[in-house]
Amino acid sequence: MDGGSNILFQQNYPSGLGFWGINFGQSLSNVTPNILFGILLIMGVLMGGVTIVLYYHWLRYGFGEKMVIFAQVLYTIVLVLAFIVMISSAAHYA
Amino acid sequence: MHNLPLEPGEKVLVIYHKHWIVYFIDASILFVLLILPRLAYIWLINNNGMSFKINQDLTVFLYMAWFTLLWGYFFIVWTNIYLDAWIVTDKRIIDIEQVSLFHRSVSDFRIEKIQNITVKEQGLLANIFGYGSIKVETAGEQVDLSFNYLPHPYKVRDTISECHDKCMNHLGNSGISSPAHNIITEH
Repeated sequence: MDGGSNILFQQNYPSGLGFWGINFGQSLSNVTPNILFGILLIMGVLMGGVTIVLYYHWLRYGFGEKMVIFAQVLYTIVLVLAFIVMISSAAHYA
Repeated sequence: MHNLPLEPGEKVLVIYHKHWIVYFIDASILFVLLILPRLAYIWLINNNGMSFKINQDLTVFLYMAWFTLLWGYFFIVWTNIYLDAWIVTDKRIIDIEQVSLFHRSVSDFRIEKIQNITVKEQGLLANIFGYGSIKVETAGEQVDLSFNYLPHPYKVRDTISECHDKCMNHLGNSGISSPAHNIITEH
């Protein structure tokens, strides 16, 4: 009797995006520190390229304009801070 | 500034950039994309009963990676918009169009060739925030310049008209004969 009522009221939580059949939670728990360092490397290369292209345009076409200088400073500071946070969290995770 | 090859003695009178609403629209879209992972997480927990927990360091890392990508993309878009400019000098109007990061076109024509200036403020937002489009047509040539999302387009039209009048007076006082004057203005 008791066993039967337990089964009746047992809730079955799906562990991920049930209707898409993706076990999202398990996928994230399988992420190793090496994967994070790999992502960090790819991000570094990608954002380095973006930064070079942006600086090229700012220095060539907008050199000396206050708005462009402000954008340069803001972009660089926030980018460096974001990378510091990413490196720190990857190190903690490892 | 803008790496422009100006003629000797040519003075830049004013530089126009696009209205701030263009940046605001792009920033709003990127802001929605920024908070999208958080919204998706809340929605999945409330509607799908997801019970997994993500490591906090991993969450911070992934979110910062997402933020960094959007941050870079925002500045690419900002640069594309900001480097679009209309420069009015005492001799020419220069239209710089930054289509994409590696696609830039610069066109100009002389102020004395202006025949018609059309200003349009279309839509509720354009009337509230005071932006619009301006189109400058030339005499005798099929070259028209237009600029969208221009702040205070009527003031811009007045400035260009004033420059045009000064230029025409200067031509009129320079001793050029009437037929020659017409040739200059039409070609």
